[in-house]
Amino acid sequence: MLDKFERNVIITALTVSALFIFSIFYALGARRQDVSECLPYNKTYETARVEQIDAKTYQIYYVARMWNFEPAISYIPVGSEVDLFVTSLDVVHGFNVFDKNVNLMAVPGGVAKTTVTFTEPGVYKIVCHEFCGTGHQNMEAEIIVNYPRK
Amino acid sequence: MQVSRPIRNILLIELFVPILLLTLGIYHGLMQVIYRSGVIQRTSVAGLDYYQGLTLHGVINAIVLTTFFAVAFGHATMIFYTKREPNKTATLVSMLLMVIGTGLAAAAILAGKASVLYTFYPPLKAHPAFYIGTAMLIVGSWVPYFDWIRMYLSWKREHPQESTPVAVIGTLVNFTIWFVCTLAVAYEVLVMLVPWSLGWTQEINIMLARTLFWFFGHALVYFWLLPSYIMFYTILPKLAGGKLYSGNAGRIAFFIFLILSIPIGVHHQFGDPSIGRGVKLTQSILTFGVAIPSFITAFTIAASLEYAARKRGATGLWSWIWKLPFFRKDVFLFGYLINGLILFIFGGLTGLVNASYSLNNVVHNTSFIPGHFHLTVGGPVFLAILGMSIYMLSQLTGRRIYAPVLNTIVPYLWTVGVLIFSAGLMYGGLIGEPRRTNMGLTYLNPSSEQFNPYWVVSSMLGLAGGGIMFTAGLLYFISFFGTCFRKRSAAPEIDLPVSETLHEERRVPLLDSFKPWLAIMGLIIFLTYAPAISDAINNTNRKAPPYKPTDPVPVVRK
Amino acid sequence: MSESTPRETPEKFVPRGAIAFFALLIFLGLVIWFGIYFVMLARS
Repeated sequence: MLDKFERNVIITALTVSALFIFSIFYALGARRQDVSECLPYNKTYETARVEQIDAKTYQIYYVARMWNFEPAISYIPVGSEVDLFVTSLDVVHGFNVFDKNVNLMAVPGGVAKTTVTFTEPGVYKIVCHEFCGTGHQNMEAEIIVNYPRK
Repeated sequence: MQVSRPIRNILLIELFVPILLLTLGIYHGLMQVIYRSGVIQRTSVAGLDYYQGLTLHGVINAIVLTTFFAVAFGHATMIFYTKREPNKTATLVSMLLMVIGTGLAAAAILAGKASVLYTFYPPLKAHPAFYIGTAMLIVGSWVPYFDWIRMYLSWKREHPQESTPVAVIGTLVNFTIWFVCTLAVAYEVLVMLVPWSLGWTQEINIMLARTLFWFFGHALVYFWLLPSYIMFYTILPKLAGGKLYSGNAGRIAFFIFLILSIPIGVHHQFGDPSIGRGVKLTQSILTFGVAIPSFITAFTIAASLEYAARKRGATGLWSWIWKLPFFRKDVFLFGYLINGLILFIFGGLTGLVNASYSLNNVVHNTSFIPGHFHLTVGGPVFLAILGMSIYMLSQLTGRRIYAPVLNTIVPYLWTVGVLIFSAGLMYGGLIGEPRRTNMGLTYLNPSSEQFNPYWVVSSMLGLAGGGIMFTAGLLYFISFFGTCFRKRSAAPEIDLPVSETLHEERRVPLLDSFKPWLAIMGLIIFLTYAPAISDAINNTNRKAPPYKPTDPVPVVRK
Repeated sequence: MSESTPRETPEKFVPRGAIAFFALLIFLGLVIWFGIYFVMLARS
């Protein structure tokens, strides 16, 4: 029914796909490269805040609105593991942290969560990357990693 | 073959209207790279706002042009291969629905009342005319599907022992995908968005709307792509002077598209809340499955072209490529199709990156994404549409193509432009440049506090490539509209090049029957989308009122 | 189209060039995909 070269093409493509899928699982397991987690929504996510859990563990609850993020600036010590929670109080916004694998959508009525570790000091810019109205291109926030060693 | 006059005129309208609108779509394509690179630092130029123009660019280029063309080309293949004509009334009704719907949506956008981009994510609200117009366009494109099923069944009764032509399988597969996936977006638009935008309902579930949109949104890209694939399998080998290496490979490719085009839409929502990670991972893995037919196609078409080149006396492992009929006016369509394939090498491979679960975090919603999809929808899809539109225009009017040299170089120039443009956007995306953003106002405005010098090079590459693309578009318009004004020099007809298969192929019943594939399609869609939709409903606890893009305060019903 | 050149019979035609092309395509796919993959790991 099928030419032998065609068959080999299908086998090769399946093998390469398997290699990619294996690599994704390796990154998921050994390197904790995950995507947004699924959490049931409740009202507490509508309050923007930074919470310190212990010396190296923080939680930042972001609230996106047309056209700013709160907290606009947060300070985190070097080496902290940070849980980020993002929601929106109006339209859909995007949430992308530079140089980090944090890429979330802020959707009203839902909360996106991911965990990130900041090993290097610096100013990490966050931009909104989903069109959210006429002020979209102004919408930014920052995570400043060096605090409290100023 | 001859086509009756009413059908011919309807087909010509379906080819002409979107190309006419495309002038506007391409104009704002150029404007966007100018805004984004910071050359102009304004919210609007000549009365057209950046985001309003971006909505036009997306709706015209990606929805109107592609849908009209798929219908017109579908008619042409079905008429040509089954030797039957579609029902005149149904064809007319379909065309009118599509034209009026497009007019409504375009009017809403041009009036500035629907600057919500082509994904129209709520709770941004557009004028109801935008939603109703889009729905009419889609419903209009459903009508011929049922007519073609009738033509196919009638053909089959007359030819029970013959394999259905690959082009007919491709067209029916494509419109089956289209019909099923648009059911979800029709629900989103007609049940959720229209009453909400009219103020009849207060609030809607945004995650549900997004999930329904992407049920449609990724299958949509295969709806764009499959007409090109039909041309690659049935037309390109003939144009190159050869034969199709394997017809069964084409049938397998189309049926894999049928079962896997829809249940992968969640790979656009990896960053979304509310949807579980298991659903996301499953749909990510299924996306690798839908890449298989493209790998099959890459090899089959390469082998078909190699055969054509060898017939012309080519030798060598690589040098046969230069024996293909590049830059030849008489087979200009070859140039459109081969350039599309070259772009799709990069478009397809970067698409695998986007769909790969956690890798998507590196690129999601950055300019990497438009970089990628201008290599797909702006590559094989767009070039096949342009090439086949002017080919059919010339045949159906009996007029010779105006400025054939321009028409021949258009795809090459376009390809150079897209490669530069997409390289710039993808590089920018990897260093965080956002898509869909008027960066000239802030990130690329040196006098703004938010100026980001890292994105200067990437957005300048986008500008350079975009300029070349725009030039190619202009040359095409000269050729296309010039052809309309020539004198008739031949009898109007439809005559598609037909590639024979290299080997004699016996009819394989499994590859000539829709029923088993439709059953698998339904089952996979149910298994993947039932949990996705249930997650979206159950994990979203607050519904949203409508917002205008200009106002942070929700629209309140008076 | 020119039919004058000596033609290979379909039975004998082995798509060597297409196999080479396909190998290159797979190689390119691996380079692009793992390129982004290592960008991801470097950013974790």
